[in-house]
Amino acid sequence: MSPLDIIRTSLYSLSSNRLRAALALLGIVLGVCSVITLMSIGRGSTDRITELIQGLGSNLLTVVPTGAPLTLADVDALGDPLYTPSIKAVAPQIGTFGTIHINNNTTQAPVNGVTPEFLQVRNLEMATGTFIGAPHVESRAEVVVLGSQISEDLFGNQDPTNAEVRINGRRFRVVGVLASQTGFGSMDDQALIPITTAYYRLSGQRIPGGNISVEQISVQASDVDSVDQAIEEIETVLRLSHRLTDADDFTVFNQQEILDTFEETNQTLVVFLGAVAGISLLVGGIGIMNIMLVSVTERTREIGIRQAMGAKRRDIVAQFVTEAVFLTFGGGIIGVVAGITLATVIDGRFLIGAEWNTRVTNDIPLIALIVSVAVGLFFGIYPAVRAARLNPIEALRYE
Amino acid sequence: MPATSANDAPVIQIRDVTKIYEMGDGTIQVRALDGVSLDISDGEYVAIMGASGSGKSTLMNIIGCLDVPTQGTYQIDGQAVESMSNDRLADIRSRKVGFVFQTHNLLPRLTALANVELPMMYGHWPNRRQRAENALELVNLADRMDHRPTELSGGQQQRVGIARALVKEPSVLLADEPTGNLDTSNTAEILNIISDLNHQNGITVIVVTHEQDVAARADRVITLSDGHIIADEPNGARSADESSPFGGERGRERAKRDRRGMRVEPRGKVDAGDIQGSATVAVGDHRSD
Ligand SMILES: Nc1ncnc2c1ncn2[C@@H]1O[C@H](COP(=O)(O)OP(=O)(O)OP(=O)(O)O)[C@@H](O)[C@H]1O
Ligand SMILES: [Mg+2]
Repeated sequence: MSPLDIIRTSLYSLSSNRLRAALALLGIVLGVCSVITLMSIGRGSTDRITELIQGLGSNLLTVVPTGAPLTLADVDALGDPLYTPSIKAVAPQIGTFGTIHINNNTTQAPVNGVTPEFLQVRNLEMATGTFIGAPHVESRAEVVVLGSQISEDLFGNQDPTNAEVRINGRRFRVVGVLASQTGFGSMDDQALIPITTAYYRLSGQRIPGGNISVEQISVQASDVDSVDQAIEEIETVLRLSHRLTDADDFTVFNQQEILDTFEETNQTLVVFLGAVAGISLLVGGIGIMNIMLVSVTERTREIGIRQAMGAKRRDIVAQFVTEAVFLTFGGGIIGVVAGITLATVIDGRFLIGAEWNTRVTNDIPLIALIVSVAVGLFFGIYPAVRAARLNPIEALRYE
Repeated sequence: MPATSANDAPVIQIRDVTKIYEMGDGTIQVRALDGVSLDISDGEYVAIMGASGSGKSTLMNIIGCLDVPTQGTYQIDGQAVESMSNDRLADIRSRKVGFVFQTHNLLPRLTALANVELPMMYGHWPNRRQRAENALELVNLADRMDHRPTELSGGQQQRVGIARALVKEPSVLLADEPTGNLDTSNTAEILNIISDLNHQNGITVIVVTHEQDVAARADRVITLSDGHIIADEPNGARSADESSPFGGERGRERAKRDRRGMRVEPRGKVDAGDIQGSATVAVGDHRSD
C-alpha cells in the first residue's frame, strides 16, 4: 500500500464518521490549546519579572543595616575608589512618608532623601527640569523632584517646574519631574528631596555623633562582571569602618541573585503549568485511543474484507495509526490556532485580579504539534495492532 | 514449480488437510475438515456440494488462504501455504485468488469502482482505475461505477464482488454460494459471467453451492459430508455440452494456453477466435512490485 493510498484511506474513513472524529479531535484541541496558553503565560510572566527587575540594572547592589545604622560616613567610605575600585557610584537613601500639598490638591506619598548619585544608580531619567544637585544637599535646600504620577496628580498636564508645594507643611520648590518608569523600584509615585533636608527637616530621628543615618545604600558596580568583586569590597569596607569582629550588621542584596531566584521560581511554575496542560493532552490521547478501539471493533468486518483483499498486517496498522495521527495532528493544528489566539487575547489584560502577560515563542506551537503527533502514534498503535491481529475469517463473520 | 509440465501440475494440491475448530477453552473440538485430499488442475471448473455444516466454507477459506489447515499440506501453484508468513498469505490473497462471497462483502462507503480497485491497492498494481473500469464493464456495470453498494441491487452488488475478484486476473476464482441470495435470472447472469471467465480466460473456478443447476455448469462435482470427501466425479452432463461457442475441452484448452495474455475486457468485445487480437487492451502480467 503506497503512502498516498494510506493517507487517502485514512482520510476517507475519518470523513465517514465526522461527528466521532470531531469529538475525538476536541480532546486534543483542548489539550494543545491549554498547553500553548499556559506555556505562553509562563513565558510571559518570566519576561515580565525579568523586565521589572532588570529595570533597576543588574549591576545594582543594595546595602541595608541589620544592626548598627549605616551613616553618610559609610557612604563616603564606599565611594572612595581607593578602597572600592569595583564600585561606580553609591547612593544613600532615607525614606519618610509625607503629605504633599498644593492649592487644593493633596496627595500622600513616600518622600525619599537622596543624593545626586541616585539618578544614575537607579537608572532614572528626567522628564523635565533638573535632578537634585550637590549644592542642594550641602545647603539642605528645600527642593523636590516629583515622580511622574505625583506630578500628574497634583498638576495634571502642566509643567510643575519652579512651582511651590508643601510637604508636611514645609515649602518645597519643584526642580524637576522624573520620567515615568515601570518595574520594581519605580519612582513614579514618590518624591525625592536632598538627603540632608530629609534628615534635618523632615525626619525626627537623630543618632549620636552628629552623623546622618541612612536607611539603605544603593551601590552600582562598575559592570555586571564585577558585581561579586564589589560585594567583597563593600563587606571589607563596612567591616573595617564598623570595627566588626564577628557577625555583620548589614546585608548586601544582589539584584542578579534576586532575579535568578525569581526566574527559578517562575521556571518551576512554567514546568508545573506545562505538566497540567500535558495531562489534559494525555487525557485527549486516551480519548483518541478509546475512539480508535471502538472504531476497530465497529469496523471488524471492514478489516476482514481488507485482509481478504490482500491487506497485510502492516497495511492495517498503517491505516489505523494514520487515522489516529490525523486526528491528533488535526486537533493539534486547531489547538495551536486556538491557543495562540487565546494567549494573544489575554495578553496584557487584567483578569481575575491579575495582569496577564503572555509570550508565544516559536518553539511552543512546534512542541505542541510534535507532542500531539506523538500522542497519536502512541495511543493509535495499540488499537491498530489489535485491528491487524484479527483473523480474517472471524473478522469477515463478525456482525 | 515442479519440473513437470505446467499444464499437468495442479494449481491446488491438498493432502490430508484437517481443520479443527476449538471452542470454549479447547474442550470442544469441531473437525470441520477431516483428512481431505484434493487436486484441482489449471482451468478446471469445480463445484463443491454438501449438506450445511459439512465443511464447504472451511475448505474454501483454506484454498483462498484466508485460513490455514490444522494438519496436512496445501500447495497453491506449487507453493506450500503452511510455511508462509502472514505477509505471504496476504500476497497470495491479493494476487492468486479471487474470492466471491455469498454476502458480497463490499465496503459500504466506497463506490463500486473503489471497491474493485481495493485488491489492486494492496497488490501495488498500476493502472488501477482503468483495470477496475474494464472489470466492471465485464460484469455489465459500466453505468454503475460511481454507485455505492447500498445504491445497487443484490445482483449488481454480487457482480461488483465478481469484478473485484477477477480484476486481479487470479489463477483461481473462489465463489462460496455466490448465488445463494439471488433470484433465478440474477443467478443465471452471475453464472454466465463465471462460466465465461472459465472458458474464455481459463481461470480455475471453484464454486460452493447447494443448487443442482449451479453445479451443472461445472465439469467436476465434489461432495463433502462431515468434513470428508464422499464423492468426486466429472459432471457428465457438462462435459457433453458443446452448444456453447466456448464450451467443451477445445475451448478450455485454448483459453488455458492463452492465460498469460489474458484480458479483462467487456464480454461483448472478446473475439473467441482471436483472444490475442490487437484491438483489445492487454492488462496481463504487468504487476509492479
Ligand atoms: N469459527 C468456527 N468455530 C467453531 N466451529 C466452526 C467455525 N467455523 C465453522 N465451524 C464448524 O465447522 C463445520 C463446518 O462449517 P462450514 O462453515 O465449513 O460449513 P458449510 O459446509 O459451509 O455449511 P453451510 O452450507 O451452512 O455454509 C460446522 O460444523 C461449523 O459449526
Ligand atoms: Mg458455508
